[in-house]
Amino acid sequence: MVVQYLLVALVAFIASMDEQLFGITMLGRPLFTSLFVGLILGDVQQGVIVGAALESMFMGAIMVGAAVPPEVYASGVLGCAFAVITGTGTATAVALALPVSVFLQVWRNFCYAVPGAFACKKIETALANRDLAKANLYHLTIVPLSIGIPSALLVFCSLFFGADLINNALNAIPQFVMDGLNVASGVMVCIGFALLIRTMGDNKLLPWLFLGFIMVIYLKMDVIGVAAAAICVALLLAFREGSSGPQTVAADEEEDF
Amino acid sequence: MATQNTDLKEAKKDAIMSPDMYRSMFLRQFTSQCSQSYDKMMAMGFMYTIQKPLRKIYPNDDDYYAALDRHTEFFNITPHVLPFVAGLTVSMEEQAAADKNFDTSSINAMKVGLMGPLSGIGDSFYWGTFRVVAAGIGIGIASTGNPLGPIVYALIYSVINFATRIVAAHLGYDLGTKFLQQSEENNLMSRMTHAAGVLGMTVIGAMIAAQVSLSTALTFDVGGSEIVLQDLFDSIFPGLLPLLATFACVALYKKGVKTIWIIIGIFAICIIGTGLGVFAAA
Repeated sequence: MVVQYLLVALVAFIASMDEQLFGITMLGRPLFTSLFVGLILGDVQQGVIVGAALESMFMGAIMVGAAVPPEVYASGVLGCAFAVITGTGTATAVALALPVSVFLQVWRNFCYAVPGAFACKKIETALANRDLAKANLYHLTIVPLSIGIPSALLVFCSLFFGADLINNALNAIPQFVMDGLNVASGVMVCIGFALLIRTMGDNKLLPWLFLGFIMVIYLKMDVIGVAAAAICVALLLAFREGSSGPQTVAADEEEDF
Repeated sequence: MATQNTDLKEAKKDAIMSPDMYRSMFLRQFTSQCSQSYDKMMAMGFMYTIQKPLRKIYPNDDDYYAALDRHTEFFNITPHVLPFVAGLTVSMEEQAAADKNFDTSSINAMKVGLMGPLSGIGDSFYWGTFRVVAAGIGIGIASTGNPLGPIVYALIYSVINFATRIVAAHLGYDLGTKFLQQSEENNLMSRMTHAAGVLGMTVIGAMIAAQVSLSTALTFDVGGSEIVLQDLFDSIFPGLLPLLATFACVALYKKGVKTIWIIIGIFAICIIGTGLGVFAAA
């Protein structure tokens, strides 16, 4: 049994790094991983049925923009494995996958915040030292492993010690901490934008930022709509006849935000 | 003069983006989100993706590392459409290497400008359409326990996924080469840079409104009637808190505060604030 658990954990390990190492192939999602979980546990049919149910449940869980979606990879593997082992079907799988999914989502946010920032620092230092091999090694390991290893461990421990134990442990985390971490992941996105505003470094462009903001807030446009409108404005600016564009731009760039 | 330029560029094009360069970019772009972080997003992955072509463009170490450094700036996009921007970037870098007057800041301006629109398209196509269609078909077959379900799902999605990534890289590079030739003739480049800045800023504003979320749970008791502060915000200036949070970060960066402290601060403020009931749970 332990060998099977290890193999299931290995599936979770690879699946949980789909976004990082494989550029979102969508093959880490429950519908596909259930095939392997079923094979490992010796009941492909049941595995695939549970996988289909989990996939439907997670259908809405998508990654749009910078928001982090609920974790579907390791939690999908765990839910599926547990349902096949106990023979209790999809309801158990869903009930088990949800708390693990919420926890692993918070963990992912943490990985982007701390190991992610750490990885970027290390890469920049390596680049400054002109050590490209080291920079690339940091790039390919730090964040993927800090996501993959805990995900796989959680799956293995849940199977080995029983899911109740793990869920009780997860439930012991105070609700306000989990809520707070979720609130933080909503705010955290602004860091990237703040850096962008700082890098673009031109106060005279700020009205455009507010214009885009207002179009979404008051006119209820979505980002694609605003982008399309902004492309038109940008083209008008770029191709207007007889403008002294280059000079004004040169003057603009002197300003530091 | 113009024809001479064209010939030069044709020769260059063959030299830089050879099949092995496309292959290297194709394999590396899958790791674009490896060093995902809140302050750089997939910048490091982008830098990793275009290393081989950049090396070919800049044989000199100084120029090469300066170029790599350029591409460690914040970048975020639907990973599936990243090859398009990568191809376009390589064509611009090629131009920058050939033309000493080329303003390299326009390369990042172009990247920033494309982020929003391409992600908007990419997210809705790959996450919203292709995946949903593939999963829908797969679930239909799999729900009876047929192992073909997962396989059909994987095949449908993967064919689209891999094919479009290959095509996008070529498209970006060819478009960039063609466009830069034109813009050079009309001295368009600096006006384009300004226009790209306008595009980028507008889209950033829209993305702040759409993606940063923060709302308060505070209520006040005024003369016996309860006033919900967030309702007040919603009726006057709905996105006030996200906007304030963003510009608070800008101000902190201007003061030279390190990213890690801003991140820790946000975690601390959000957990404590949610515990005290200042912020509404997401």
